[in-house]
Amino acid sequence: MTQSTTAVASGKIATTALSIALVAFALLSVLFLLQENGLLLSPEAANYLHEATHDARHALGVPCH
Amino acid sequence: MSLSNGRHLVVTSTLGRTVGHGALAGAVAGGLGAAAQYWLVEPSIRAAIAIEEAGAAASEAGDHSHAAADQATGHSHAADVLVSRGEQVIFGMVTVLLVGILIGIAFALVHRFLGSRLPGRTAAGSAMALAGLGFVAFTLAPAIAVPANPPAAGDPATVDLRTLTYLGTIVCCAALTALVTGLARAKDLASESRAAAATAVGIVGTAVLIWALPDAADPVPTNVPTDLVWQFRVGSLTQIGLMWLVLGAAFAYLLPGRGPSRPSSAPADVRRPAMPGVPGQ
Repeated sequence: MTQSTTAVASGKIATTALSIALVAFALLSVLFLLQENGLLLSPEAANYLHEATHDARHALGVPCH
Repeated sequence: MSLSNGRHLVVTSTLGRTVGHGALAGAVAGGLGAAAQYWLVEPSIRAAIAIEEAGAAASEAGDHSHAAADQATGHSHAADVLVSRGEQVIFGMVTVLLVGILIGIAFALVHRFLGSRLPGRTAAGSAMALAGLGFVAFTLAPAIAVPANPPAAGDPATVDLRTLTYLGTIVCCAALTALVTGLARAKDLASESRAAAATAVGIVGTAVLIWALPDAADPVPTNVPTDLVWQFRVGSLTQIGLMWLVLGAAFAYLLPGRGPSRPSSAPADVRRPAMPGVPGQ
């Protein structure tokens, strides 16, 4: 996180860039949590995550099998 | 913490504070969303899994192998699976909490970044407006394009198309919502042209999206009662709608510049002269 501290200190444009990066990170994390299909995780881990988040995926309306 | 800039408050707190407030508001929304999921959605998921397992057992009893039945349903909910039903319920609620926190952070940053470009007279009002717009673009639009389904009602063969349509709907509808909101508040248009332009773009944009987005929703299988699907969809929409509402309200509550520190809400301060430039009046 040293990089982000520097970015905050160096002004408005850096803050804006950091904000956009954080928004993208947050939304991609949601996508990862609900739709990871083996892109970043091993098949076993992805399968475990898929099963663990199963009820939330359905309830939040994200397409599933 | 805040200055009055014309009719809108410009909040000048640090980025970390904004992220923290967003995460906290998101946690409150996620916590309530998890409770709503437990009470409103889990009963339908339980009923749907019972139907799915009855179907899998029937096909197992026939000439299909167990592996084929598993393949057909994508994953099985039998006792020998990776994550038990009890764990799925708990982890599902934890997932909703995490999604709430992440969406809360994104929400807070978008609110901070857009500031007075959002509808609403105060920062708290614009937080509620943003939550409403978020509900439309991220929940209602994809729920219309690809309605939420309980476990037994999805066809594994169409999941890629449904997922792409779902994400595409969110992206397109977020862009359309931003365009309509931007037009409705465009400073270089007369107020009546603004309303007309925003309405026209909203109607034409929606029509184009309805025409352009693929019809990806699966037909409901005959062994799943339509009542169950309806109950599930209403429960799901209620849960997510509640999450947006609570997110907006909790974030508005946490905003700096609320309450007595806001200049417009301190009328009782009689010691301050009404017209500072004219002494002795």
